[in-house]
Amino acid sequence: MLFTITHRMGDLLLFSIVLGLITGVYYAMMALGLNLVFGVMKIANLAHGDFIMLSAYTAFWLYFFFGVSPIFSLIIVIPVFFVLGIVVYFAMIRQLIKKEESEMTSIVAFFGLSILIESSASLAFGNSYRTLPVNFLKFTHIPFLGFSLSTVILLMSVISIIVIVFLFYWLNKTKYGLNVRALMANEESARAYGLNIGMIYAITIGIGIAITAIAGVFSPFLLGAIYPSEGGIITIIAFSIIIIGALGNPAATVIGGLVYGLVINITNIYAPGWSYAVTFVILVVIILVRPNGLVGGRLREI
Amino acid sequence: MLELRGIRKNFGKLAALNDVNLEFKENELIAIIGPNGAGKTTLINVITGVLKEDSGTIRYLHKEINVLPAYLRARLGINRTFQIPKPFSNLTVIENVRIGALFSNDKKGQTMEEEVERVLSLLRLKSLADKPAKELNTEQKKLVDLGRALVSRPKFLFMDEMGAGLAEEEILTLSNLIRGIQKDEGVSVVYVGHVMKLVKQLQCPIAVFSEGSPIFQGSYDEVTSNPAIIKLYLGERYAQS
Amino acid sequence: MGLWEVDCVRFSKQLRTSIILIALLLVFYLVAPYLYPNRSFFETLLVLTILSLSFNIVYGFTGYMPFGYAAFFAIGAYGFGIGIVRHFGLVSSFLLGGLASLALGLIFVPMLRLRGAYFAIANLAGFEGAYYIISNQSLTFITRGPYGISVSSVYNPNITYAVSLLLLVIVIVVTYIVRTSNFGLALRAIKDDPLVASISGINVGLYRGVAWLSSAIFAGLAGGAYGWYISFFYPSTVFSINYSLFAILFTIFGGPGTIIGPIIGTTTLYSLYQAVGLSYPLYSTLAFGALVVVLIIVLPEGLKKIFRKYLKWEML
Repeated sequence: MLFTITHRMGDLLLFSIVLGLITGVYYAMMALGLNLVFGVMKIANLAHGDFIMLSAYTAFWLYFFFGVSPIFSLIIVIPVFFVLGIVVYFAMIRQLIKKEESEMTSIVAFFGLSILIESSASLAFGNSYRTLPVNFLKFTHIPFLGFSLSTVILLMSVISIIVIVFLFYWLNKTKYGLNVRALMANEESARAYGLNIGMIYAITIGIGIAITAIAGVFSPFLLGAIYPSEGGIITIIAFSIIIIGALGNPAATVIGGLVYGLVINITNIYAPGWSYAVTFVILVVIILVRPNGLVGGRLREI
Repeated sequence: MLELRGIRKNFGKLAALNDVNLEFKENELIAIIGPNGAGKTTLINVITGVLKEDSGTIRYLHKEINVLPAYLRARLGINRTFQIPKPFSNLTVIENVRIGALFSNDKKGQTMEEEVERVLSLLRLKSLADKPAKELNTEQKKLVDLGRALVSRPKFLFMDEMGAGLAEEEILTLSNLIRGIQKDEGVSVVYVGHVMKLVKQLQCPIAVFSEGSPIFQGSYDEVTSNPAIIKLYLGERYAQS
Repeated sequence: MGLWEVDCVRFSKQLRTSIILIALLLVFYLVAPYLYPNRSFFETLLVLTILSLSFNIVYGFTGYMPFGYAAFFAIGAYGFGIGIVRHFGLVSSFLLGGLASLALGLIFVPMLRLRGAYFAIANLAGFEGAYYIISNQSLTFITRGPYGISVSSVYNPNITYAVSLLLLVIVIVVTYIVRTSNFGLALRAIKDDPLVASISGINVGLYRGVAWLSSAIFAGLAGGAYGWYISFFYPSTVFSINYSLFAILFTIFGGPGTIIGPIIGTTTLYSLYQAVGLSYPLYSTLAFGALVVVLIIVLPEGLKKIFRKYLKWEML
């Protein structure tokens, strides 16, 4: 339960707006890796949601077999998925970006990868729904605006903010991060400048997948139970978020996440059962009306 | 007759076309020159409907064609080639030319296939007919691009700089080809470029463009002897030689 | 030569072989069910071949890659199902499936302004949107929401099989026209460079739209035939991304932009899928996912390229 009504019917709308913002930063983090990868190498990772699913399973099994709390499982999940990202780079992306129509080809390839991961997971883990216990924190709920708010949601929010701040620090203050930004702004001149593009690509997708994996660990608390085929819908949600912001612009993803959090939480009050349908219709409309996103125009700038 | 009145086109703050008034008559050859960024290619883009002008009118066959999309202007007989030749790369040479013939402006009693054959032999592309365009060299691509435009029997053909990077004798061949086409096909050719050697060989009136509008019209000799133009648009180097 | 006129001279060399291959295919479909009495296999194969050929009209000739293509298939099944439930009669219900798909295609037309990743994602979102609307509890009175639709009142596998076979012939003829006419040539030009196509006099939006909508209609009719055959289905049965996967994989494997390619692709790969599926049911989707990845990296033009290279035969 995200919240329960404690003493009286408080201001439900105000609460869901606040909840929308709190969960919005998590949604932003969930989509951040996808946009980083797209911004840098023009690869639309249709297997994004499947990496979330994989890391959720990793956290689940770590808890199930060894009793590792989700917080501590990050210590294992982050490096493992960083390496996994680099493997994806060398196994697929390096071949794909050489192709004539690399954007189209890579979309198909990652669609295949998505199916591959999903069916492997269903073979390995079975199709039953799994979830992580919320009681690994001392307090499970705190009173808030007349409702009670799950502390896990707050924790996720804090971790998301830390991750987002870390990413922007990396992009703006470190040598590697600045190279990544140079590459996003203009690949031609970055190439002419003599940057080791392959290396930057590999590191970027490593970091992108690692961030995605952090989001995956906490996904059962917000995106629902873990099951092998959950990836598809998560991929589309993540794409909705980055397109609402601006495709290829990580900073705008934060805005996309917040907007998505608000839309989901508010439709949950006024039209429960329609929140997904509404989201996808909004997405299609936004793509058609403002293909550069709400922040548009300044595409590929940070 | 193709007539431009008060055409303006801005890219942000830059005025690519600044109040252009021009008339192109039927059956003539004219060259438009000017330094890079003078708005020559933008002019072609606006006339052919690739770009929408900000204001002004384009009249053709006594009608305003501003509202018409590019494909309808092509069907009315306004066609073009590209500075960087753009044949359909996965289509063969003959298929490229065939595309141009699909909506031919004026068939003159010829069947489509006859027309395609004629243009292929005119441009000496027959031996390459079944080769995919992506396997051609740049010069051949330029000819395919020209063939696609020519086969539609346009009334006005805008050629965007075809002479870049050509050797002396190639320039002579090309200019002869362009003049021949203009005469034999009964088409108005507007050649847009800045390779002066080619423009000289065309032996036709020249309009000089600068900062988005035409500033001078005259023969090659008049243009090259006008000190202001030499200095401003052809650079100091030309002034000396 | 007109826009729709097919050019027999230009394709005469491949034509004879292709006609023989297609005739063999039809004989196969007529005889095979007697030799190997697995009706479900042949009906599904038939439906998937139609689906691949319809998908090919979009992907093979215009270059758009609609990952949410299964939505047309599903909407077709639903159009048919709703028609039957409302007692519209068999023929009208079947046509209603195609019409529903055409309507969805029209709604999706603005997406054709998008390219690459944008189009792919918009189309996927459109697929999900259609799914969540059709399966929504509050629309139960029209779509039966999450409870599924039964068309068992008109169950007749022999007629379904005959209708599917007829549909296959029609979609082959349509693909043949697109492949050999100047309309198809114009589509290929648009795929290469829409700008140059339009300054050559081609109405880019209209041509793309015609290809897109005719593709949608056939996918919808295929979905209707499938729904008719399986007799009862849930939203998730037909709104399955697997149908997109099948259409994409079979078309790419066979050779996009040809007639023979999607047919060979579907027949070989789906048979393989079934063969693997019988002994190792869990591994067939896994193998297909892997196959998509490998195929698109190693052989993006599929068998078409192999035929050209080793058999010196340009696939029709």
